[in-house]
Amino acid sequence: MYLPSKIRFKHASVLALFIFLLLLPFKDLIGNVFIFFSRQFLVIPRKISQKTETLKKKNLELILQLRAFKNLKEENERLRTALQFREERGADFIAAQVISFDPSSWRRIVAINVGTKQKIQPGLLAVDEEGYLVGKVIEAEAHYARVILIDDPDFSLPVFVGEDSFGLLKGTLKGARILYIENEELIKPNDEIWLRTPYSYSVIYAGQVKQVKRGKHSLFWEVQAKLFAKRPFLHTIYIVR
Amino acid sequence: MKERILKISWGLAVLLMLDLIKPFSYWLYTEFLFLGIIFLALNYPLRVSFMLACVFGYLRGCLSYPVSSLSLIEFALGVILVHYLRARFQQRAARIGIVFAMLAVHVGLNSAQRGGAATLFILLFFIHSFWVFVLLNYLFRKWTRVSLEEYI
Repeated sequence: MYLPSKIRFKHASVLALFIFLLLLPFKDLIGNVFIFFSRQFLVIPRKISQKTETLKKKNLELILQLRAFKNLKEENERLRTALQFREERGADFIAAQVISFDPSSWRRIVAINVGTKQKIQPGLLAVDEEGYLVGKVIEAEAHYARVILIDDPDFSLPVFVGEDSFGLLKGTLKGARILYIENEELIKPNDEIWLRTPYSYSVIYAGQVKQVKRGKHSLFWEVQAKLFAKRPFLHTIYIVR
Repeated sequence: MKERILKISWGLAVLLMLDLIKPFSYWLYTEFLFLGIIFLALNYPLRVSFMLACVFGYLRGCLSYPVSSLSLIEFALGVILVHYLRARFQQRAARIGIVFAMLAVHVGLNSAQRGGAATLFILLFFIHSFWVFVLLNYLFRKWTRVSLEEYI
């Protein structure tokens, strides 16, 4: 009989260890599923009211920042006109639903439900709901397009690192790295990895520096990047036009 | 037999859909259709499993970007390899080894095509795929009524 009261302590501890090791490779999956369902079904009124207060305060801070930026923008435009720079415009986003994924686990490519009819073209960047880079458009047909995600091995994009350095952001299946960094002294851990969209003021952040290293016979430094975009379950992305 | 073939065909179609919609996004490191092909090769005759592997390999290749014939070739040759190993090693325990061997071949081919993959990714792929295969094997065995002497 395998009653719990009949199981000796040492057998129970071995069983518990086995179950723990069995579930350990799935911890990310279990955590994300739990978070997803707890968000759907749990209602905590006190936390919601606290969150509302925090959001109101953040809203006020953003209003004040916006006023300051408006002044800076007007000054910037006067200077650009004086120096005859080309015209820029604000970023234009279009929301897109993810309709399918590439069937291979070695590819990180998704198909979205917008295409050339919505002025989507290859090369446009894709961000998540918090504005962090998730990928770029690689193919566009009339009613759908394909987006390569940032951690696909074929993804590459020139980016800035910190204030003074730039390199090539390249995907690896577990994250991303930046190649062709010439001077390691200009970069330190937690420096932001960012880029600007063409024809707009918008700055898009991709992640931050995690580690800087160089191979024995390599000319350039390589940066391990920690990506900002979390995307536990990818449903909606925003294309920056 | 016809009923079993029809059921496994539907099952493989569902697994292909699961690969396309990825209900767990990229947090589950496995390919459902490939695991279904392994089950097919272990429990069905060579002719049936070869034909179905070719059909679903071709479909999978068409739905990939860019369109590729690697899946068609890999699934077809994989089925032949599994049948050869099944004939060579008759023990029940050897079948578990065949599953790991097929996963290793799949990892090797895809990693070579992509120019490498992170070690952690490969390790998680093995672990997740094995346990999902155990679950799929149990469910498909019940559904397609594979007899106790035949199943892995």
